[in-house]
Amino acid sequence: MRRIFVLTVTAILWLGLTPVAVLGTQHNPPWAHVISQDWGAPAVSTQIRWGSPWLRSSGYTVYDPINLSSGSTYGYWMNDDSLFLYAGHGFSGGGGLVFPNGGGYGYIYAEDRLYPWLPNSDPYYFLANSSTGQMGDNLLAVFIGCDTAKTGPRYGNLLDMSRARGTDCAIGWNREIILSDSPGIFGMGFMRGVWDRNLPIDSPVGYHPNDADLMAYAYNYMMSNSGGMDWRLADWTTRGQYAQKLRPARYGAW
Amino acid sequence: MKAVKALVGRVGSIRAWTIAVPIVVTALVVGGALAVAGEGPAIDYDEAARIAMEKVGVAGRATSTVPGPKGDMIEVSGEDGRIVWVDPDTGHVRGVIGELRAADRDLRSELTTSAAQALAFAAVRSINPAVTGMELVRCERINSSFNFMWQRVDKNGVMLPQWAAIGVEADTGAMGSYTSESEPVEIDTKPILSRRRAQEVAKGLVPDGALEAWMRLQVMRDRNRRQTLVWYAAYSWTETDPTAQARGHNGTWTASRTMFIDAKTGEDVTARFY
Repeated sequence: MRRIFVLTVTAILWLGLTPVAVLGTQHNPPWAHVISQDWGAPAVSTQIRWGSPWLRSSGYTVYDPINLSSGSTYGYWMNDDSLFLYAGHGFSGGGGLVFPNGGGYGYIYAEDRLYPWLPNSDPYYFLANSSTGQMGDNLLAVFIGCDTAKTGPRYGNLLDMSRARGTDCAIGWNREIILSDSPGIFGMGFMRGVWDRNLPIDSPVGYHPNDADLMAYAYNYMMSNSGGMDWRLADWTTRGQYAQKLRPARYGAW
Repeated sequence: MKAVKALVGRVGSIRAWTIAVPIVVTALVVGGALAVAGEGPAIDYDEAARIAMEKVGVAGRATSTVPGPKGDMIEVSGEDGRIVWVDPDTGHVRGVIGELRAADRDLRSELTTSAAQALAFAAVRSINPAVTGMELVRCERINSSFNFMWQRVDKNGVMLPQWAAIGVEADTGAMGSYTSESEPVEIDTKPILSRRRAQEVAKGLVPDGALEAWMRLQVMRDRNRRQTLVWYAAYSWTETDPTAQARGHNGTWTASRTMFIDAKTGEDVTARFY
């Protein structure tokens, strides 16, 4: 009896003291978040959410909230999402995303090179503080926003850090992209391309006139539906496993 | 009474029926077909496939219609993997994804901008001859490709919904990703609101210190497919978050706003287009 008691206590202590990796949850069907903001550019949210049914028809469980806070976005992205599509504000100079947080603002940065030991503290979140176990499920992250592919002197590079933390493929933009309705229509086109064509995500060097891939499909869809005015959206950068297709719906396998 | 009897007698005769029946049947069939054609799009899937072959040289089948904010497009899937979008109302080619035309020759060095422009113009003209009267409004290199866009600008300086854009590979000269629009202008394009007045209206809608990214006259079609002459304005400014700065973060980003101002009335009509 005493031996059983000792064994039980030992087992409980052993389980309690073993460091358990913080893992993301793999849902079935896989989750996708389409995050947009109606702050400054109301059309972006309206338009990009028109594309959600196409992504649902492709086998993903799609959530498309407007004006989600930085904390909630970070949580879903880290723990639940296979696809993460963002259309909103990018941090000036690169390395971050800007969110409305109640009456103020929130941020998701790649890292903080000035104070690399800083923990996440609402409303500031750092991809560098996540574990590969959390983000390894993330198949694709697309950041449709200003400077999202640029490397900021303090906050680093969203694409490189996403990759380092386990996202299979990450896409961002190299310049300011004026917020008319075009980023939303670009997102619509992207989701249409997944459902209708199942093309590979991208080709090695970003936009290329002869590509038959999702990014070129989305760009051309945007051009054909926005009066051809917002060609700034052609200037994106892709990192990671760009040749993957997004159907069948699944989680990333970094 | 005699006349009525005579008429009934004639109509009742076999000869009269042999003439009347085919006429009535033909009228019903033609009338019905016209009524159906009036309701649906002018271009069907077979016709769209024929246009893709004739205009772009893509052999394939049209199997679906792609909805979009600017109206539906018939999608032709090429046997070679290319995709062609055809306007179901006009038959105009609105987009080609994939290589439009292979390079004519192997280039020993990269194309110059002017050489790429000449090649691009020739390729666009073969699909859309109307490009001849348009102005070059975009000429830029992005990654390994040159990107050109021509647009029709009328005598009032109004950008009309008639344009064509194409990309050209700098290293091979191959052309692809053609997009275009060709919509007839149904409204008077002479503005009443001056540029200065439009700027005043736009500045009233953005924070002080916002910088003008662009301001141009444009014919736009709203959600009800009604054309409006607008001043199309975009302003950007730097937003700062004092709370973030107090905590040692930068807290700055570029905010922007795009507006449509009715060039006849001066009213902010942005909401009509979304």
